[in-house]
Amino acid sequence: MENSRKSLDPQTLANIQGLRLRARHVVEGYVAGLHRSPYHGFSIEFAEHREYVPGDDLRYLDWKALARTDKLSLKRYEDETNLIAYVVLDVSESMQYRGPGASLSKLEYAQCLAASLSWLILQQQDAVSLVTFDEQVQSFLRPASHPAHLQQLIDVMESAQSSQKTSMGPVFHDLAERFSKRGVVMVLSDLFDDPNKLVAGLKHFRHRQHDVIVFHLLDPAELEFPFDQPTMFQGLEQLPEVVTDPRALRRAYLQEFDSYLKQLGQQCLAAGLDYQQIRTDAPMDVTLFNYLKNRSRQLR
Amino acid sequence: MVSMVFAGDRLLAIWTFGSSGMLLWGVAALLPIAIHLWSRRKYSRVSWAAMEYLLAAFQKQARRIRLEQWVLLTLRVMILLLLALALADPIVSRLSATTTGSPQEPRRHFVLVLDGSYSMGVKQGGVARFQTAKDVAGKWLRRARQGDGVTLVMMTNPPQVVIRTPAFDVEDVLQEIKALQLSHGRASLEGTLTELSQLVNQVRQEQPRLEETVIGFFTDMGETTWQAATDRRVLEQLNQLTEIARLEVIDVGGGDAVNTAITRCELASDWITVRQEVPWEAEIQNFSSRALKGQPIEFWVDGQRIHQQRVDLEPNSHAVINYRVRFDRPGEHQVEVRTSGDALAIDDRRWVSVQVQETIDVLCVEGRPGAARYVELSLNPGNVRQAQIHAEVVSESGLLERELSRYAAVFLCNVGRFSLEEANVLYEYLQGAGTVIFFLGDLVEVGDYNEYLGSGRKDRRILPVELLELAPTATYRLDPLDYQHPIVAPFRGQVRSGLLTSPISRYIRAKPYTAERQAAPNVALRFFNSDPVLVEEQIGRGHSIVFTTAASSQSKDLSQDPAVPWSDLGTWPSFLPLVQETLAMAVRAQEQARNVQVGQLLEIRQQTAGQLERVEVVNPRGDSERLALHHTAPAKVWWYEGTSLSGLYEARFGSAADGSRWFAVNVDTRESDLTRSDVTLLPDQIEVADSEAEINSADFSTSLGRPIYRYLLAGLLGLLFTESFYAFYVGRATG
Repeated sequence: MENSRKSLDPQTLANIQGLRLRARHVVEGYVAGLHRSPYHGFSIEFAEHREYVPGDDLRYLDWKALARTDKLSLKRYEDETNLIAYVVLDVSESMQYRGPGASLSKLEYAQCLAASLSWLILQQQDAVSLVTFDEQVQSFLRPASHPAHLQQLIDVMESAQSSQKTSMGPVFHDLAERFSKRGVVMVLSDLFDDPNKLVAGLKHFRHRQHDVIVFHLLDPAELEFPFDQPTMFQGLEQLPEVVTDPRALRRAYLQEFDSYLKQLGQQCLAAGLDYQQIRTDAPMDVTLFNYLKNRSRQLR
Repeated sequence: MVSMVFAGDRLLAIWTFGSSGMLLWGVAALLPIAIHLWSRRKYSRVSWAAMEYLLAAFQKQARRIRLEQWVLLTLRVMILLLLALALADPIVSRLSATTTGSPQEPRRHFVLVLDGSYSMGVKQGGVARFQTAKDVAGKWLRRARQGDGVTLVMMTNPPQVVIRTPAFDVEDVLQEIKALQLSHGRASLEGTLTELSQLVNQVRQEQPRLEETVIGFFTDMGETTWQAATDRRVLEQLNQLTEIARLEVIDVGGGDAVNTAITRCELASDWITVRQEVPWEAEIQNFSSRALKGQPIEFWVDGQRIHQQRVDLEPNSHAVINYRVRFDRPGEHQVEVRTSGDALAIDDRRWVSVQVQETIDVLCVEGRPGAARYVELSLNPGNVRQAQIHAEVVSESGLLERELSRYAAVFLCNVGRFSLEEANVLYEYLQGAGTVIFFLGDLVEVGDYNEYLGSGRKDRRILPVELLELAPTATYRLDPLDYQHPIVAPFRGQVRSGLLTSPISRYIRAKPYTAERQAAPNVALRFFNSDPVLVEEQIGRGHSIVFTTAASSQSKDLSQDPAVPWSDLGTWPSFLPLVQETLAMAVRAQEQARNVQVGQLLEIRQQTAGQLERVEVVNPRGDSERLALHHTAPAKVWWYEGTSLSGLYEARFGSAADGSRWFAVNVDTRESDLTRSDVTLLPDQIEVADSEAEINSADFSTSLGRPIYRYLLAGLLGLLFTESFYAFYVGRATG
C-alpha cells in the first residue's frame, strides 16, 4: 500500500504520458490497496426491503429489521444499478496554473482525478456523463455505462483547454436544467468565482435532487504564497497584473484567501453539498481513498 | 521671501566643518534610493490564478506597504547622511546674532600661553596656580567666536608649542589644556617670545583669514621669569609682538605664599669611598618675608630616613645643615634631603646620586720612568696600602691597554706623542665625564700635540691650548688670577702654601683656544708675562687640564751648565694640593654627570665590557621608556631627554649583571623665589588683568561653538537601531 501510494504521488503521475495511463495507474494502485470495496457508496438512497433469497449478499441484510420482525430482508436502493455520475470539469484558464511546489497543474490533476473516478464508476456498471466548461459549457458527453465510454471521456478531457475565464453560476444553472435524471454531480474546479453565485448554481443541482460533490482543487502555492522576491503577478483570466514585494503582501493575501475558503466551506455545508478541498501536491490515491471511505461511512 | 533667505543664510552661517571634504560621503545617501529603484526594475514574473484575492490584499495593504517602504528608505538615507555629516566634524554655534557675528567681522587667532615654570605649582586655597591658569584659560577662550582659531603654547624652557596648527574646535583645545602637566623646570620669556613671533607669522601665512591675533599669557608674574622683560632685547621682542598682536597678561599669582626650598645638598668632602664617614651639607632657604620656626629637615639614604631635625629660619635667609653619612657597601646610593609644610612642594626635596667605590682609581701615564712619581706621591702621600686613592703608574703603551672608564682621572706626564687611536680613546673618556691632566716636559712634541690633540682634530679637540714654543730659561713668577678658578681657590689666603713661589724656570708657551664651544678654556694660573701655566676646559662632560710645565725635575734645559730643571714644582708644598684639587674637580665632574637639573640630558654610557642591548629609564612617576641607542662608537651611548620632573631616574640595563644606574634630577631653585614682577615695567600696549574676577566680568556672551559630531554619532547609532527594529517589525508584520 505504501509503495503503491508512493507511486501515485503527483510527481510520479506527471512522468506518465496520457490521461488513460495515468487514470489506470491511479485506479490499479487504488484497488490494490483496498480490502473492501466502497463502490456501493455511490448509491443514492434507500428505497424498500425485499425478502432474502439464498445467494444474496449478506452485507445488504437489514439486521435491525431482522431483530424487529424476525424476518430476513434485504435493503434495496433506488437506482442501485443505474447510478449516473455527472463529472463537471472546470477547464478555464485559472485551472492551468501550476505553482513552484506542484508537479501537475490543477487541470491535469482534475483530469486525472475525473478519469480515475469515471473508471471506477464504469467498472461498477454505472453510467458516467462528462461536462467541461469555462464561462459556458464547452462539451457535454451524455451518460453511458459501457466500457468503451471511458475512452470517449478521456478524449474529451484531454482535448479540453480554454483561455477563458470561469463563470460558474450560469453554467451550473444551465447544467441543472440539462441533467434530466437524478445522479451524483461531481464538480472539479478551483472555484475562483463569486462564492454566492457559484453556490447558488450548485444549490440548483440539489434542488433537482442531485447529490453534489465539490472537489475544490488548489495549488499549494495558492494556499501558502511562498514567494519572497519582488514579483510581477500576471493575472490569468484577463485579470490585471501587480508588481509587488510578496513578503509585504503575504499575510494580507493569506487572510483574504482563508476568508474566501471559509465562506465557501460554510456555504457548501449550509447547502448540503459535499465539499472536498484537494491540494494538487497530495497523492491521488490517498485523496480518492480518503474521500470514498468518508462517503461510504456517511451513507451507511 | 527675504526673511526666509536671511534665515537660511543664518542657518548655514552657524555651521563650520573640521573636514568639509568628508561631506562628499553624503553622495552615498543616494545608494539606498538607487538600490530601491533598481530592485523595482528587477523582478520575476509569475502567472497567477488566485489574482482576485491578491488584488484585494494589495488594494488594502498598498498604502501601508508604501508608507513602510518610504520610512525604511528615509531611515537608510538619513543613516548615510548623518555618517557623512559626522565625518565632516561640524561645529555649530548657538543660534544668536552675537555668536555668528557679522560676516564683515574679522576672524581672530587666539594664542594661549600658559606659564609652565614650577612656581605655578604654588597652592593657594588648595588649588595650584597652574590649575587656576588652566581654568581661567578655558573661560578666556569663551570670547572666541565661530570661525576663530586657537593655538596653545607652554611657557617653559625651552617653550613647548602644544597646538601649532590653529584648532577651530574649542572642545579639542579644552581637552589639550586639561591634559597639560606642570613641568619642574623654569620658563624662558625670551625663548617663548621668539617662538610666539614665529608662530603668529606662520599662522598668518597659512591662515590669512585669521586677520587679528590675541595672545593671552596666563602666569603668576614670577620675577624669575618676567624680570627678563626689562632686558633691552626682550623688551624689543615684546614691542615687536605688540605690533602684530594684542597682548593680554592674566595674572593668576595673587596672594602671599610662604615657600622654603632645599637649595643645596652635596658632599662636603672631595671624594667618597666605602666605609668612610663623610660629611654632607644641605641648605634650606626661606623665600618668604616671614620668620619660620621649627622647619623640618630630613636626611634620607637609599629610601631610609636616617636623620631629622628642625631649624628656625629668618625671613629671606638660609640655614646650612651638616650630617655625616657612612656607606658600608660599594655601588649606587641615593641621598635625599626633604622639608615640608609650605605652599610649593616641588622644591622641598633634593636628591644626590653617588657611586661609592672601594678606592678612587687614578691612572698615571709617564713618558719616561719617574715622570709621574711626584704625581703618584701627591695622590697617596704616605704610600699607604689602604689609601682612599689608588694611583696606577704605567708607561705610554699602557694607555690603550686600560679600560679608562674605571679611572676618575688620567694624568699624562711628559708623554712625547700620541697616536690617533690614543687621541680617540682620550676624547671618548672626556665625553664620559673623565678628566685628563697633561703635564708637559722635554719629551713633548709640540707639533704632534697640536695635530692629534689640538686644533688638528677640529671638533674632537682635547687640548684647551695651542702649544707654541719653548719659553727661554728664566725665573718665572705665578699670577693666581685672584684665585678665581676652583683648582686654585683653596690657596686663597694661604701664602705659605708656596703657590706663588713655585720654582718654574722653563715651560712651553701656549695660547688658549678661542671659545668655539659653549664653555671657553679657563686659565687658572698664569705667569706675570701672561703666558698660561694651568688651563682647564670642559670637554664633553669631563675636563681637560694642561700644566704647561713639567711635573718632575727630570725635564732639564741641557743648554745650561749645569743643566737647569724645567721645574721643581713636584717637590714644592703647593704641588700636593694642586694635584688633589685637580682630582677633586675630576671626581666632581663624574658626580655632575649623574646629578643634573630638570630639562638637562641624561647620558648613559656602557661601562662594562658586555653586550648591552637595551636600556630603559624609569622616571620618578614610575613610567618607563625604552631608549634608542644614540651612538655606538667607540662606546655605546644612550640619551634620555625627558627630565621634566625632579626626582630619581633609574636607568635599567638589559641584563641583571649590568644592574641599574641612578640619576638625580633637581630643580633650579632660582624659580623657588616667588617674588612677583612689577607689571608696570611691561610695555603699555600689554593689557594686564589681575584676577579671575576681571575675566569673568568681561563680555563672554559669545561662544566659539561646540562640536556636534558626538551628537551626530549618537543619532546615527539611534537610527541604526531604529532601522533594525523597524525592518524586523515590518518583516514580522508582513511575513
